[in-house]
Amino acid sequence: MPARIMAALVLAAAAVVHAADPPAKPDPWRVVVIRSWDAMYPVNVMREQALRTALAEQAPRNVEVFTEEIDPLRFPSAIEADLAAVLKRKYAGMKIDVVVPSGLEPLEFAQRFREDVWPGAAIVFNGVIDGALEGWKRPARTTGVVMSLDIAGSLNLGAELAPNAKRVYLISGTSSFDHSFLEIAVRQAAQLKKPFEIHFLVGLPRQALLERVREIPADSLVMYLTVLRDGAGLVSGPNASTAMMVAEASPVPLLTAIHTQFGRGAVGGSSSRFDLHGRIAGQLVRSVLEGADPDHIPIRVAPAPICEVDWRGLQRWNIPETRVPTRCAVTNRPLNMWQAYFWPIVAMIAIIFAQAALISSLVVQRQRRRRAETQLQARSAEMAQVARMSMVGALTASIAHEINQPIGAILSNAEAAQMMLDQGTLDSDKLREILADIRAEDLRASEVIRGLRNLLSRREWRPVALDVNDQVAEALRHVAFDAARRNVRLSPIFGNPVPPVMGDAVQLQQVVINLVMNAMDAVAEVPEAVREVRIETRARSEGAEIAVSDLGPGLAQEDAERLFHTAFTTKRDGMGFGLSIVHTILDIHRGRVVYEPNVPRGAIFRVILPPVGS
Amino acid sequence: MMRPSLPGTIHVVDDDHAFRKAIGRVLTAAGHVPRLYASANEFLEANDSEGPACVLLDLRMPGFTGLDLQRTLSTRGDAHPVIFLSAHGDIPTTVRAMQAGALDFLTKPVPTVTLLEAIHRALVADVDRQEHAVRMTEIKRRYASLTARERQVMAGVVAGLLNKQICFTLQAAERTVKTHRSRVMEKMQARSVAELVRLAEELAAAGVTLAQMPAA
Repeated sequence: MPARIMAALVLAAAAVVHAADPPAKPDPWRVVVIRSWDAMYPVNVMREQALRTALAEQAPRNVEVFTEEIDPLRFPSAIEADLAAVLKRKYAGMKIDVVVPSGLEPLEFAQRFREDVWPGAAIVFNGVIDGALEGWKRPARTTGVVMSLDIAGSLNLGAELAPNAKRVYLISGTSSFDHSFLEIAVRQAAQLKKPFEIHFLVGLPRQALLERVREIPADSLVMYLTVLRDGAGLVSGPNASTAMMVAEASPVPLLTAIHTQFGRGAVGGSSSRFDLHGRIAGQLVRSVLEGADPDHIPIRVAPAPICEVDWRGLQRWNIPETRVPTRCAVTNRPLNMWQAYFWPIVAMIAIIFAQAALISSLVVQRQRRRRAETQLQARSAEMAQVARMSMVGALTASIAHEINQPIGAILSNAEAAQMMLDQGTLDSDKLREILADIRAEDLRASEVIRGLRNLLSRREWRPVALDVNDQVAEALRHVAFDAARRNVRLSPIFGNPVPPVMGDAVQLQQVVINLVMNAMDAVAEVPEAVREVRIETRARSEGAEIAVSDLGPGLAQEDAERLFHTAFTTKRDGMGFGLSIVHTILDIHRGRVVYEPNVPRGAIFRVILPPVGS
Repeated sequence: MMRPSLPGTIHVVDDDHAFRKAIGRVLTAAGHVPRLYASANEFLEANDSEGPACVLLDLRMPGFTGLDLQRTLSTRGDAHPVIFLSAHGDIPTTVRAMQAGALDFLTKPVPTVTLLEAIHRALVADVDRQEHAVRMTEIKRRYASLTARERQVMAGVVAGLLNKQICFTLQAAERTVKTHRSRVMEKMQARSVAELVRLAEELAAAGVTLAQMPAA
């Protein structure tokens, strides 16, 4: 597309955008969060984070959050008016929708200065402890969420963990906040069904506190409330180690009702989660921002406290886990192997099972294969024996000839010598000659017998590397006489080289003998000129091949398919074992035999054997 | 058996060299003259038919088999007796050999006594065969010397007809027939009618076609 047209289109699009009125952008919601003390107190961090997340979550408008801090711990309340004056100047001309005081003191501050500093803003408070608002009058356009301080629940837990405890030591600091907590604690402790004897460890400098803690008698409990400021006027700040040091020093179980203290030495307690509280507050602010009337939103306590027990505390104070009530969750228990490594263990077990399955299936397969092999070998041996016996008939003429020929010669030689001896015509030269002939014929006869024994005896399967040409030649030697008798030419064509194969010599010879015998039967009726069986060996890509071919009538298609079935035969007096034996023997040798029609007629049987080491 | 009562030429046809040689030794020691051949063709080419002789033939040689050779020899007519020697004689082959005129059928290994007895029988038979052949040649020569009329008269005599019956059939005078008859007896060297009948029978057996009396 030419650049000019492109530019024109871009300009047109720009014109369209400019022609439409820009949509009225809504003002952002503006929220001021007022917290007390250091922002880094875990309570503040957790609550504020959750609150602001909930505020901004899928907000239809942008939410601008401002934070202000009052610090009654470290600054006199007298300066609050001056602070308010500064804030008034700070927020002048800016419409604030909601003021969110977190805690009792910020709530008081917001109540006092809202109309002056943030006129028209609603108040949605949070972080105020349930009970702290007793006698409080709810101002207009004000709502909020209250947090429970479950001292009673925590003490009940303590009673269950330490059934012998009669006393409870309450630890608190000197700040007004500390005092407000202590007051609520005492009130709740007094209302227990089985009230403890209450002792106070309040307003002590840290060192003195720890010393006193160490002396607490055995039948007691300790409840750590808050020590924002100790008896020495020290404000330890966020993450102070006081609670932990007390836990360390205490000979009796330490309880807590403040969630952020959990995990810092106490054995447990009932407390509310600050993040959930902050989240609920955030949702509340959002509903007010979206138009809900704060005056119609009831002030409720949320979330419900939960009971938690620290497993390490149980160990620390030798509390049996059986005492932990079922409503309480036990945390920080070192994960046992299962919990720590569930998936790795599952994976391992799965792998082990898979391996075991694989191994056992392999073993089973191996056994099956072995059994099959053994059966095959046994069957083959039987078949081979049947074949040999059936072959005996066919070879009888050959056997008789081969043995009787030398025996006849021996007999005649011996009797000739006898006759010459009687006639006195036997000289020692002639005798020596006759004896040499007798010996030679004797050896020939025993060689024939040895060969026959090899061929006919049932022997074990003992595969060795074999030269294919040698075995074919040996097999042809066995059938040569029969071939001559039947006037069939045997034409061996030996390939060179033919790879050696692994197998049993006698069985391989038998394969060749059977195929040649079949071929000789096939050519029995054909003219003498083509009464020939060709035996060819050669190398193939898969090993060695022995091809036996003839120019006989060949096989009909349907016969060719059933060729290797046991007892299949086209011969009138055949048993049908020959090819089946060939097949079986080749099975054992991991070889195969294939039939194909010869050209122009007749049959070719190709025996293919894998080479040694394949 | 030091000297055979009837020594002869023995043709040994066997493809097995060692066996041939051993048999040759035995035959020589027995006083015969062995002739050794490795194959049937070799034997046929030698064409040595001096008698008395016989043939020792291995039934199962590669190529031209013993039975083939025997068939060939018997068609030649002047065949010497054949003894079959075989390492393996199955019954059908033996029967066929005997039907084809084999004199004996021996199985290897054959004891020398058995072999020599068979050879003796064969040589005796060969001598008989040769004598018979000589005699038949003579009888045929005699018969050939008869005139056509004389053969007709001889046929009448052999048929047992009286002279008068022969005269009637041949439409000849009785005197003429008597003359023919005495000429026949003379030429055939027959001393009696009975002997003439026997000669006629021998001729017929040898395949000679005898003249017949014309139909009356």
